[in-house]
Amino acid sequence: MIRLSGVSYTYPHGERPAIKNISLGINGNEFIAIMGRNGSGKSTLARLLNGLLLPGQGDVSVDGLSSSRPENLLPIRKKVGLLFPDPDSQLLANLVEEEVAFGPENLGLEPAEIRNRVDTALKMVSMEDYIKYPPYLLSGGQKQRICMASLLAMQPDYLILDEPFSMLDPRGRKDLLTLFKKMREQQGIALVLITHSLEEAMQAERIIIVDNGQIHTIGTPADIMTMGAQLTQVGIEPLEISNFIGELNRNPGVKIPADITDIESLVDILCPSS
Amino acid sequence: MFRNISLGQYLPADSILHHLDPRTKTVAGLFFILAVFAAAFPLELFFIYLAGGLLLYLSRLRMIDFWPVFKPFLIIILITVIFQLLFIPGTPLFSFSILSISYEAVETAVTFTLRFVLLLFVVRLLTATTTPVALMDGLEQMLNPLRKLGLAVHELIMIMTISLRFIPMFIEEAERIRKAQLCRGADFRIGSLSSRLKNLFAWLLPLLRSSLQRAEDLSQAMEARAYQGGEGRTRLNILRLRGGDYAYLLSMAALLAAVLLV
Repeated sequence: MIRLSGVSYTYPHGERPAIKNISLGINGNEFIAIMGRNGSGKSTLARLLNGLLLPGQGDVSVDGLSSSRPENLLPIRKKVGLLFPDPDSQLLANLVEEEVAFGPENLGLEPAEIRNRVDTALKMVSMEDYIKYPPYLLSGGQKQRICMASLLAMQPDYLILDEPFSMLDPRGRKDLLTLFKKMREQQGIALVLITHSLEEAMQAERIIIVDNGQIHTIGTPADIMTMGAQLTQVGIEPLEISNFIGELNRNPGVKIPADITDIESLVDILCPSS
Repeated sequence: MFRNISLGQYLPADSILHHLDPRTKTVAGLFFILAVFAAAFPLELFFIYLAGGLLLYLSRLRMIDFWPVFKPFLIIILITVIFQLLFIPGTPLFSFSILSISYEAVETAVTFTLRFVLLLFVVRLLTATTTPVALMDGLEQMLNPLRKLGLAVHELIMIMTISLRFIPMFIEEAERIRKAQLCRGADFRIGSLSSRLKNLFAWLLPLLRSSLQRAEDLSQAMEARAYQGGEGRTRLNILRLRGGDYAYLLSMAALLAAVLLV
């Protein structure tokens, strides 16, 4: 479990704290989504979770290991993988296999074990045919898969996904999201998805809305759906379908529940006879 | 604009030299260079050229592959040769009014040119048959004992490897920013010096900014993957010397020994 208690963080030379007094628990094998407008503190929060940033106040602990102790940082980073938005800024090797091996090499594993993990991780993301390929010649979606494999090769318990889809086309997004969910089911890895898209966040068990460095709301996707106009205030674009239901409900006599997320249910309500 | 930068690129091929260990090729290359400098004119140099010809054959490269590396040095060779011919005194070979060229001058100039060409040849042979990463890997393993003296070998090599990896990206970025500024009316070729300088800054500053941002992002990504420098780090691929490596090293050492002893 990742536990944040009373965590605040101010960047060096920053005028106000990027994160203010956040307390939160993330369970093993949980899937949560973190949402919020640009500059709300989402990415700072992500970097606090794996000890890239250390809290100014409060404490972050991963499975009981506090990030305030320097000797805990290596085990924390082994447990908590962090995927960044832009794959080009994380790829550092000249061959896919070297890229994926970088993490296990840092953990000081035996060459045979590293080879084993590289092969397994690449198979998990269906990129095993590209093992001797230079990563920078791959497409955006393939690059993000390689980055993902690089994290999986470290066998993490938690994956923090910081806007992993921002550089991908719709098809790439869908494929990658499916992959994340598969990892969770097969490997029991907890997912923390940071995203701007409510549609993607709906896949999670819990959605946390961060605004102005603080937790604004924690709720299930159904809870979040019913927030209506409040969502826009915290910089989140409501789902198309919610806008549509909102418009319908303006008509006198029409009352459709606001927590409907799929078209089929809406059709059932609008045309009960069919 | 940047297309004509040639850094002595790797030329993939399936040759004996390509498959040798990078450490072997580096050390053998050093032996060869020492032999080139120790070789006397003309007989010993002739034999070294024969050896060079054999290496060329083993590398499966063509003469034309070496031309781009020689070309920039032609002018230096030419100037040096002219100076040597004019100013080295000795037994006159022939004179023309106040100009007098000595036998020694001709010998020095020819030897210099032959050695210089061989030197470029060996360096190009190494870079054409070995990927930059393999070279760096080899260098790291060879320099590793220096760690005991407190030299940050792994860190230095990591810096060089990453720089190599980012050169193409940097060039791409430079090109992109240049085009973006051209679209917005900047011109880097015409106009007064001050306006061209101003435009140049509009190009260099964003490039510097984006490079620093990339460096920051990459260092975070590396740290997030448990990178803590070379301490306690292992490697996926460990370099191993094979029979061919020993044979190549021995023959180069023999060449050097022959030149030194004869």
